[in-house]
Amino acid sequence: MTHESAQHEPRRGGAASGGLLAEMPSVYGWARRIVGRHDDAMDVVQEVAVRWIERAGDASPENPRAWLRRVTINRSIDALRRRGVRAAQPMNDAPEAGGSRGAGLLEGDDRDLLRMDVAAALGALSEMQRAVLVAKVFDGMTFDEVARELAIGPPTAKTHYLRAVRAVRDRLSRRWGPEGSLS
Amino acid sequence: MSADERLDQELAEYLAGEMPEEQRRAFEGRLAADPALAAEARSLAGALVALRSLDEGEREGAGDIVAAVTARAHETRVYGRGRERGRIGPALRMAAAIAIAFGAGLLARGMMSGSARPALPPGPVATRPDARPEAPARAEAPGWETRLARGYLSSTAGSSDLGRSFAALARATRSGGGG
Repeated sequence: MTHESAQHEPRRGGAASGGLLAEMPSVYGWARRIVGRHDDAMDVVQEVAVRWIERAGDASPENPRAWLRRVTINRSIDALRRRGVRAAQPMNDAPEAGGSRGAGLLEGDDRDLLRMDVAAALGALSEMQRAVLVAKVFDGMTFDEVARELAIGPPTAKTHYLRAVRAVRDRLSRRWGPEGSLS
Repeated sequence: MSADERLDQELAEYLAGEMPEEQRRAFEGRLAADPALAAEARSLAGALVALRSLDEGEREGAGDIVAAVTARAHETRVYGRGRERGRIGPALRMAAAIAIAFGAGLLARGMMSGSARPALPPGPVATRPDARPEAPARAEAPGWETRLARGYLSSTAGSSDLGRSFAALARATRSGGGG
């Protein structure tokens, strides 16, 4: 379950819309990575805009980009869940290692399946793990930058990052595995 | 900090491409000597490849997004969709008003022309300035992460930090006899 009530909530006293508008391409980009489709990404952008307005009124978050990234990712995961599990292929229907799906694995239906699995994996992370992982992977931030943004120490950021990557790996390996050396 | 915790810190730095060159070479030597660690690192790199392979589609300028959100808000106000209309209508109208106001500002700054696009989030990470292109090596017995990564890495020609790490991991795993 995702939560949006943690840190970096909007505070009163700032300019409400500047951060949102300036970050809209990023909001779209984060959403598009998760939900895949343009229309669905635009739905998320719209939801995030509404959320921003509802929560902030005429105020802005202390760190607009961090707040928007967190809310966008959470909303995207929820959107993908709602869109459904049309891709609910049984998890035991995994391709054989070295099988015929190799080179084209990131095409078409496989990409959708991968997207669903990644979203499920992200959704299962703790809020902090997800924040660190997304900041690192989607925004290319350094550990020092992530640590500053999230008000944690760099070693803690690295710990969250590695745990998050391991969790994603474990989730993906359920469908795309088995990876014998890991089990 | 325990030895395991220290190793995790190093593994995180290595996977993220934030390890200094000398330390990275030493760590890769350790990977070459430890097939289990190399397999762990390779599978984690595969998960990162999977995450980064989720593209953003065609990037659009701020003005395009603002215009699209504005249009959608207007459409919702005019044609409303049942329960949703009542729940988010006022906020959407406010968002639309803000979007229109800022859309005008963006227009004035030339953003909608595409000639002065705003800063966008970067693609695959290349945090180390000395990153060099390197063709990814092939693992002899590809696991799931290698199969996932193949298309992505071939499209980036291994030019990212992750590409380099993956190639090194493949070499380490091969020399260590793992797969």
